[in-house]
Formats: sequence, structure tokens, C-alpha cells
Amino acid sequence: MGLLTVIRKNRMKEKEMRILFLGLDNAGKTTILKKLNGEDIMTVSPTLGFNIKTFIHGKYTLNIWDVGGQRTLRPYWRNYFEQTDALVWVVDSGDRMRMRDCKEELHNLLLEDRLAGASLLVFANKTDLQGSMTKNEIQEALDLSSIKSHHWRIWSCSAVTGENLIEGLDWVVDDVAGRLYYSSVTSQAQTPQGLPISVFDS
Amino acid sequence: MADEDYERKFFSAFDKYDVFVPAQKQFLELSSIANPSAEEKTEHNALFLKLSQILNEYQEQSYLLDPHLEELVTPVVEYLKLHVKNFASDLKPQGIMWHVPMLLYSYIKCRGYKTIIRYFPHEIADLLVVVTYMRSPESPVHEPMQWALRYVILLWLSLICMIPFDLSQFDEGGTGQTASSIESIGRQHLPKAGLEREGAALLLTRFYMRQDSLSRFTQFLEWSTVSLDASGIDLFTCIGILHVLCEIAKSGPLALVQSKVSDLLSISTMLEKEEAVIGNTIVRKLQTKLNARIALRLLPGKSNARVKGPSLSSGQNISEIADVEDIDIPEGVETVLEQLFSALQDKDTLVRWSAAKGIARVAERLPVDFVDQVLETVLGHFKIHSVTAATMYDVPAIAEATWHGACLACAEMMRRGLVSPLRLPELIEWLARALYFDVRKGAHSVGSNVRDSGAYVLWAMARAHQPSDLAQYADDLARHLVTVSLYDREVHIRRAASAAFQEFVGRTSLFPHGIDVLRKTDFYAVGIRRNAFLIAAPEVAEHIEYRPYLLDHLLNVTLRHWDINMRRLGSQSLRLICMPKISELAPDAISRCVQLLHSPDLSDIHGGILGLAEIAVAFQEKESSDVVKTRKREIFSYLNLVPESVLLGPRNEMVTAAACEFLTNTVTLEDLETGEKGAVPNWRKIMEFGLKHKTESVQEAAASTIAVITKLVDCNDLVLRLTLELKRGSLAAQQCLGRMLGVVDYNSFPACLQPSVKTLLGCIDRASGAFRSNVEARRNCFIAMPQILNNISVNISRYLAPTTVVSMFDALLDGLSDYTIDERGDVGSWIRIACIQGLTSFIETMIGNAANLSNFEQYLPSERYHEAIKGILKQGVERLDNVRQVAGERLCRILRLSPPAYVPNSGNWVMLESDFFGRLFLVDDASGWNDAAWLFPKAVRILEVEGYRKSVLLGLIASVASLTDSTHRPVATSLVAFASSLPLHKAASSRYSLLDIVDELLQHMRTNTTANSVVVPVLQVFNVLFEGDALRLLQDDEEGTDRLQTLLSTVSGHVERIKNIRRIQESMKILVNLLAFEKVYSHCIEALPKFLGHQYPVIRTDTSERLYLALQSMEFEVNTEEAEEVLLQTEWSSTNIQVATEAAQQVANLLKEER
Repeated sequence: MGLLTVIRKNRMKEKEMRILFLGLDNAGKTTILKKLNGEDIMTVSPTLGFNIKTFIHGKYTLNIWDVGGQRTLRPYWRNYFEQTDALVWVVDSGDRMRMRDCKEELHNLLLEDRLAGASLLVFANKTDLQGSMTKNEIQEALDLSSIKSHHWRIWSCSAVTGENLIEGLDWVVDDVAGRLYYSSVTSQAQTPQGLPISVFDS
Repeated sequence: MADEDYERKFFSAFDKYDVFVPAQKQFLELSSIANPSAEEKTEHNALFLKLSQILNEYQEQSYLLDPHLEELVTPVVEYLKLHVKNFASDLKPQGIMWHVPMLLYSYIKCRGYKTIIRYFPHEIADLLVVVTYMRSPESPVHEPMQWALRYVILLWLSLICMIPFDLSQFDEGGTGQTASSIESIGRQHLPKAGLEREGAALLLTRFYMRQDSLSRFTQFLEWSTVSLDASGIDLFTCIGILHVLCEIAKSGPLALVQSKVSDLLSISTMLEKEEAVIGNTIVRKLQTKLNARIALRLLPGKSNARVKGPSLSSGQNISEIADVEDIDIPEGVETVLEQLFSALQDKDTLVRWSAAKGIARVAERLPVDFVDQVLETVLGHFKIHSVTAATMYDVPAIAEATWHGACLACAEMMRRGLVSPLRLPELIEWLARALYFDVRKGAHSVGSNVRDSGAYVLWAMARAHQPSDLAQYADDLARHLVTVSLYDREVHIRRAASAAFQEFVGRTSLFPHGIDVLRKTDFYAVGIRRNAFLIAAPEVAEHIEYRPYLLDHLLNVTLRHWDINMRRLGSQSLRLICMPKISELAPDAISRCVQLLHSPDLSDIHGGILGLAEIAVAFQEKESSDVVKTRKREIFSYLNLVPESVLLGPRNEMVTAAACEFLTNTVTLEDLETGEKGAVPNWRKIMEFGLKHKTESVQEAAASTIAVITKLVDCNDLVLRLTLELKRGSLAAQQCLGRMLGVVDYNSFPACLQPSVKTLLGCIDRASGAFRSNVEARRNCFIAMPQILNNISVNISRYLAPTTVVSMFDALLDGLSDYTIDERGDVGSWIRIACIQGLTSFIETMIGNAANLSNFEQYLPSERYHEAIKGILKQGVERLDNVRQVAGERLCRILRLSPPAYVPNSGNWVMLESDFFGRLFLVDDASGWNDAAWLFPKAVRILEVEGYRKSVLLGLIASVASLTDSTHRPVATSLVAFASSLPLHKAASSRYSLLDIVDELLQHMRTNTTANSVVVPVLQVFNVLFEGDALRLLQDDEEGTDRLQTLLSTVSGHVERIKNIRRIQESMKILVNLLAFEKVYSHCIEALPKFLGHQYPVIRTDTSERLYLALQSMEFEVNTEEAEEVLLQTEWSSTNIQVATEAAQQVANLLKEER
């Protein structure tokens, strides 16, 4: 059992998930993460690379990859050592000019076979700003309804106020858990016919 | 293994659900049939295989099944339950097919028993039913092949026996009877060698954990102690016992486990007593597991809850580090840790892994101070074998286990956040050596798992520590990880290091140019060794932060590696890294390579020579000619440091070859002129030794040296002398003649050109040449000719007369007919391949230089050009796949050539009907010519091209006659199909006719009627055509009948004088086949007695059999019954020839049309 096997096996055992934060540059990916982490969000500068952050969320460990939106960083969107479980696509709701770019990038990305089956959460960020597009407008603009290959959901949110950030992540984590850790999701709800379930988990 | 996993198809859901569910439904329906028919059994079996196959596909991602498991498993379990119930109610033997429990086992194998067992029923009523089922002597569980059934039922019972009621309530007879039954079932299966043992162990575990069975556990423990103490205990019993104890230690009630600690520990120690027991890997693994679990139960819960990361919801770190009070460490824990530390050095990976995990888990529950002591002890393992060893090279091979175990323990502790930042410097120092751990052991080396686990520690480190703790080590770690990810020998280690590097870059952003370097060394970039060494490494070396370390590694490790391929690639990587800054980097690299030349180790010397040779190339490519000269002379002089006895030593061919390469890259005019007085007096000797060496690669290297020195000085005399020596030399040396003459630089010093060509032409004569019995040497001479022509291409007209060129061309053409055979098989094919390549190369060279040749048509007469194409086409349709492949490739190249420029009638040097060939062969779906099924349907169509027809037909005839079925069959079918499509006479719409093909076959046969090798294949072709019914049209008119008549007279003439059995047989077959043609029928009958009454018994029997079959299957106007009767009655093999001849005549008479 070498490192490559360890990486794969531990992921299941430790209930880890790998979540990619992607989107065009200046969409607010790093800001959202900082907000979630309770850090100061006034000091964010463009991400020139990628950051891996680990969060505990419920009983899951989230390894969040925050990858810069610049074209040169796109290769890191793929990671051959680990499987990607979820994709969080952050959109700047005020950036009407690049909405077409944004749609094309997203749809191209979904063709990647390493992302097959990953859950897709679209964060319509910066909705607290005046003149931004609504959730429905963005859904339309990104042609989300045509996506059949992935479970997806769109949430409007604001990295500044923190609105909907947790709710959105909750959805995506639950969706992944339903696929990867189905038994742990359901075992809480129903234990088979009243037996103490702990004996199975031990 | 790991690679396959990662490049395996990745699923995102249980896509096969729609196939699986109906298949399983059908499977269960078939399982219920009482007496299945044979077909139903087959189908049942097929369905089972299909289901288990699908489950196998999901083995690696079995969690995807979870949402469907209840629906999938329940019906199978229900089926089993019904079976068990039915059995219990009438206690009659009821067959259960082996497949149903096997399917359940497949589920368990795929998803694990803990998950699958949830779908088993556990009603109170089931208990007695299952117990009865297991205990009844009639039960199918006792059939030997039903191991899966036993396993599944034991698991089921282990679930049922958790019912929260007192077991005595079920007793029908005496008290404790139910409990005893369950226990005895478990005990009965515990010593089994198969999987039942695991089922039994789980059953006993659950059973002993019951409140009402605790006393029985005490008894079990006593029994275990006694059994283990007794000598000669059965190994499987021992494993079974340990399994139960491990499970109890893990999940038994705390009070129970704690009260039995001393018993458990003494059992663990007792194991050591018997060599046969402790020598078993599984026993040691379970012992380690048991010990670790005992310690875990003695300690309070995790006190050092690791800080994984902040909680998403609160943004707060979850760090519940409870106040570490001074807790007393229970005695026992220390004993356990000691055993675990020693298990860390076990010779088996399995045990080391278990120990490493155990140590980390125990440490998680210890106070910080103690954790640090644990870590210190683990780190101490690294020292065990290093105290005496000065360098990595001196470490004994057994250190591998110790280092691997220590690394694993560190990694497991690291992952759990148990390594204090203060310990990092020492740990990193060890890791810096573990990452390169490679200890030579005979012809290979050990230690790849140490390197891998080293990467694991670092990967875990990136996850567990704050960037601020790591900052001061980042540069070092970056260099080590990059070096390993580029230069390790094994792909999985390069990838492991790359994964750790990525983790560091992403989590700490501390690595210099992290993003940039990671792009150059990602999963795919380091996947192929060549790519990692020659592309990724030079790219990374552009960063000054990494370059010196890469160079260090190359010079200290890679050039000295035990694997010659590593040294080769290492030296090339060295060149590529030095090249951009050659003047700055070379001096140090050179002096370090020179150091290697002093080593007693041949690998070191080899690596050093290669390194220097490659640096010389780098100079050549980068520097001005003055500098190159000085540098080359400097490097050249170092060869003198290697003793001649080493360079020319027996079995030192890799060093000799490297020395020749070295000379090629470093020799200069000045050194050549100083000769024996120069820096390396023996260079000429080395080269000549290399030329005469028995190894091909050395000869090639030495030939390349010749090529270089003939560029620099006039070597006329040398070449002439060597020519003579090689020609008369050993068989191996002879092979080098062609190699040498092909690469001599005749442009600079043309004097030896004529003699060389003459020598080559003389040597290739396979009747009387010097190499008549040396196929390889002849082949090399053939290879040399096009090389020479290519070398002097622009000066052909200056140096060579047209007649000389034409005679070389003719020699190559003649080589196409070399069918020499020896004990290695068709060795002539090597020569034919060389000639196909040579002719093509000749044509390309000549046409390419047509503009420089005023009398082009004399150098390459157009009829020679077409002869070559004919020859290549013939080879292209013959028997051997590899010959055909080469011929096909070359033909396509010729097809793509433009006609020669500035030559009158240039169209004469274009393939006939090149458009037709282009459509046929230059197509997208072009499979290789080696693929007979693809080629021959196309190849037969070349017969339409009149100019090349003859040679292709000859090739096809040879292929039909070949014994190679993979060739014979497609040729035969293609030929039949082609012939059937032809009209009888040539018409406006067709370019070829059936008469033409028959005429050509007959004519070919006529060229040499006495040569069996000519006649027999043609007869075979005729038989193929007859049997494919492709010649039916011939009887339609006079001309056709005439041909049939000719064929008949050919096969029936002088039969008695022919000695070759094959020929007579084929003739006879034709005769019988001709019976089907009315117009020659009577003549056939007349000729029949010649075969039926032949002097050879085997011919008589064969003829009678064949004729009988023909009479049976064909329709004749005459009544054949009587003739058939005679054929059957006569004993044709009888020695009495009189009987046979009479019977033969009788048959003929009976078959005559008018009697």
C-alpha cells in the first residue's frame, strides 16, 4: 500500500470530500472562503495559484481547493491524485459583460472526465450589490437547465454579508454525502429494526 | 498496481443498475426451480457470472451501490431465509445451489460484511431455525463446496445472536443448551482454513460479548491459553482464536476487556514460544493488532484530538485538547508499545503497517510528553542500522524493513497531528535520506517502499502543520521532493513525491516557484521515466533554486545507479541541464564525473564515462569551435584515467561501448594527429577492440567512432587494413565489416570508396563470397550499401560510375531472393528486409539527387526501378508478417515520391498506375501489411496491373503454399474471391481475365517442370481455386476447355516417374477436382488408374479416399454406386500391387460414361 493508495483509501475512511472552488477571476472565490473561515475579507488579492484549505463540516472533512481563475492556472483544476467530489462555481452577478465567457468555461469544464458525477453548486455572488443580475437571470445566462450530467443547484449569495454561504455548502455537502457516504447519511434516519447500530460501526 | 487504479475508468453512479436488477431477478427465479434442466443450469451459471462480474467492476467504488443495496440484497437474503426455514420445518435434505450463497459472498466481498449484514433478518424466530440448519447432519452446509453458504450463515447467526433476550429462554432441553449449541457451532468452524473461520470468529465474538455469556468467555480464554501453550497447535486454530480476541478487545465491554488484560497479554507473549506459530505473518499481524487494541482499551479516549481544520460553520478551530492532566499510564501500555516498536521492524509489510497504525492510535491517547517519547523511539529506529554506515550505500538491506516501519509510524502520527514542530528538524533529516533509500541487493535493489513511505510522511506533514511551522524547511523539502519526483526509478514513487509536492504547494504556498514547478512535474509529466528525465527535469532546472540539487543527485546517485538504463538517461539529463549554462556548469560536473572514473565499481566508471561523453555533446552544441576543441581535448584526456584492463575487460561490454561513444563525442583532429604520444595513447586500440567485439551494441558504438575519425583525417590505410582484418576475423567480427564500411566518411577522403564497394559486393555473394555462411554479416553489408550512397549523395557522380551504382542496385535486387534457412528459421528474411529497405533508400537517394546527375537514367535505369518495385511487391504478399510490413511501408514511401526533377521522361520513374495503388493502400484505415486479413483482399487486386502482375502472382503462390495458417487462409479466400469475380475473357470493362490467370499459372509451372518447389505451389493454387469453385467458367468454351485439358495432361504425365509425394498428391487432387468438368471427364477417368494403382501405397489410399468423397458429393451422369463399392472393398494399402492395379482399372471402367 503506497502513498497513492493511502490517499484514496483514507479519503473514504476519514469521510473527506474534495471540493473545487472555480470561476472566472474576480468572482469572489477566495473572499467566500475567507468569510467562511471567519477571516478578514478586506485584504483579498487575486489568487496566483491555488490554496488547499481543510474545514470540518458536520462529520465530514472538506478539502477545499481554491484555484485562481486565470487561464494559466486551469491545469490545476484537474488533480490526478484525488477525485473531485464537488464543484463550486462562483459567478460575479454584476459582471454582465463576461457572462458568456463564464457560461462557456463552465460547460467546457463539465466535459472533463475527472469531474464526472461531481455535484455542482453555482454561487451567484455579489447579489447584494446594486444592479446585479438575479439568480434566475444567471441560471438562464449560464444555461444551467441544460446540464444533465451533474446534480446542480444555484444559490444567490454575498461573500460580504455571508448570506446563503453556509446554506449553499450544506446542499453540496449533503449531495456528495448522499453519493459517497450514503450509509452514514441514512443510518441516522433509520437503523434496521431497532438494533443498536453502534455495533456495526465499531 | 496503483497506476492501474488511477487510470481506471471512474464511475459516478451505479450505472449497471438497470441491467443488474432484472438479471438478479431472473437468477433467483432460476434458483427456485426444483430440478433444473441442463440449459437452465447453464443459464443460471451465466447469470451468476454476469452478476459477480458487475459487482467486480464496482469493487473499488463499492459505495456507489449503497443507495440500492437494500433493494438488491434483500431478495437474495429472503431466498436464503426461505430455504433455511423450509429445511428446518421438514428436516429433509433440500438442495441449495451453490450460486446463491456465492452471490451473497460476492456482495460481501464488494461492500464488506459490516454493510451487507444489515440486510439480514434477525427475528427471534430465526435463531433456532438457523441453529438447526447449521447442526442438522442432513444440512447442505456440510457439503465441502458450500463454503460460501457456511460463511454467510455464520455471519447471519452472529447477527441473530445479538438479540436482547436471555438465550436460556430458547432452551428446550437442559439449561444453557441453546447457548452451548451456538458456541459449539462457532468452535467447530474456528479452526477452518477457509473463510468460515472468519465467520466463526465473528459469531464467537458477538456471542461472548453477550451479558449472559461472559462466563463462557472466561472459559474460552482458559481454553485458548491451554491450546496455545500446548506444543504443536494448529495454525488455523491459533489464527481463529486471535481473531476472536482482537474483535473482543476492540468492541467488547470495557470492564470485560480491562479485567482480562493480563490474560490477553500473556496469550500474546505465549505466541512467541513456537517458531511455526510466530513465523506466520497473519499471526504476527493479529498479535500486533491485539496488543495495540489492549493498550487502547487501557487508556482514556483521545486526548490529543487532532486539529484537522476550522469548522466551516463557526469558523472556530475544533481543538478540544483537554487539559492534559498527569494521568497514570497503566502498566501494560509500555509492554505493548515495546512489542509494537519491534513489530515496526517486522520483515512483512503487513505487520509493519499494523504496528505503525497501532502506535499512532495509542499515542493519540497519551499525554503530550509521552507522545514525544513515542516519537523519539520511532525516530531511534532510523539509527539502528545507520550507526556504523557512513553512507546510504553501506546500510544493510535489512534496514529496509526498519526504515519503512519507522516512516509509516511517523506518517501515521503526523497525520493525526501528533508530531510536535520541535521534532521536525530531526525527522526531516531522516526523511531526506529515506526519500533516496535504495540499497543494492544482488542484481537489484530494495527500498522503494521506504521512499514511498517517506513521501507519505511529507504529504501528511503538509496537511498537519501550519505553514508557519514549515517555513524554515520549505526550500529543502521542495528540492528533495522535486528530485524524487523527477529522478526516482519507479513511476509510483515519482508520482507519490509529486503528490506530496502538490500538497505542500496548495497548503503552504512556501515552495519556490511551486505552481510553476508543479506544472512541470505533475502526475502525467513524471509518469514516463524518459519524459521525467529528459523533458521535465531540464524545465525544472531552469530555476536556480533547484538546479544544483538536481545536478547533485544526477552526479551522486543516478550516474552510479545499479540500473544501466538509469545511468544512460541520467547522463542525457545531465547534458540537457548543463546545456543552457554550459560554461558555468560544466567544470564542476566534469570534475565530479572524473571522480567516478577512479571508482572500483564498474557502474560508477560507466556512469562517469557516459556523463563526460554527454557533456562533450553539450559543448559541441553550445560553444564556438575553439572552445569546443579545447574542452573536447580536456575531456578526451580523462579516458586515460580508466585502466585499459577495465575498458577492454571481458564481460565489460557496457564500459567498452561507453568508451567508444566517449571517443565518438570527444575525439579531435589534434588528438588524432598526436596518436600514441597523445593524452590517451590507447584510443585506437579501444576502437579496434570495439569493432571486433562480439556484442552488437559495442560494434555499433565503435563504428560510430570510425565515422567520426574518418571525417577528421585520411584513414584510407586504416580502413583498408581493418577491412581485411574484419573480413578474415571471427564470425562476430565479420558482422562489423558492413557496419564500419557503411559509416566511413567517404566525402572527406574518397580514396577508400571504390575498394569498400568492391569488398561489399564481393562479400555478399552467397555462393562464393567470404560471408557465404554468415547471414548477419551479409545483412550488414547490404545495409551498408544504401548508407554509402546516402553519405555521398551530392557527390555521387564524382565518386561512383553508373555501372558501380547499378551493380550495387542489382546486388540488392538479388538479395530479395535470399531464402537462407538455418536452425533459427528463415534467417534469409533478415537479408530480404535489409534489401527492401536498401532498395527504397537507393531510389529515394537517387531521385532526391536527380538534379545533380546529368546521366540519371544510367545510374538508375527505369527498368531497374520497376524491378525493385516488383521485388518489393512480391515480398509484400509473402508469408512472413514482418517482411510484409516492411515491404508495405517502403512501398507507400515510394508511392509518395515525386518523379525525379530535371530528367527527361521522368514519368518512367513513377510506379505504374500509381493512382490505383494510392486508392488501394494510401487510405485512412491503413492497417499494417502484417495484417493478412486486411492486406490480401487488396493485394490480389494488384494482379490487375499488368506490369507487376507476374511478381505479385509469384508471391501469392508462395503464400498459398506456405504452412502458416494465418497467411494461407486469407490468401486462399482472397484469391478465390478475386478469381471468381473475373470474366472468362478479357473484356472492355476488365483488365484481367480468368484465362489470363490460368495461363500465367500454367506458364510459371512450365518454366521448370522438374522443380518441385516451382510446380507444387502452383498445383496448390489450382486446388485452392477448384475447391473455391472459381474455375467453373472455364468449361464454357473451347479455350477454357483447352486449358483444363492442358492442366490434366500436366498432372497426369509421367506420374510414375515423380518421386515427390507432395507433388503426386497435389496432382491427384487436381485430377479428382477435374472430374467435375464434363468436358474432361472421360480423360480424367483414363488417367485415374495411374494414381489409384500407383506404386506408393499412400498415394493409392489417398486417391481412393478422395475419389470416394468426390463421388459422394458431386453429381455425375453415370451411376457411381458400383465404383464406390469397389473403392470401399479394396484394400488399397495392400502390398500386393497386382490387386490394386486391377481394382483401379475396374473403378475406371465402372466410371466410364459408355460401358
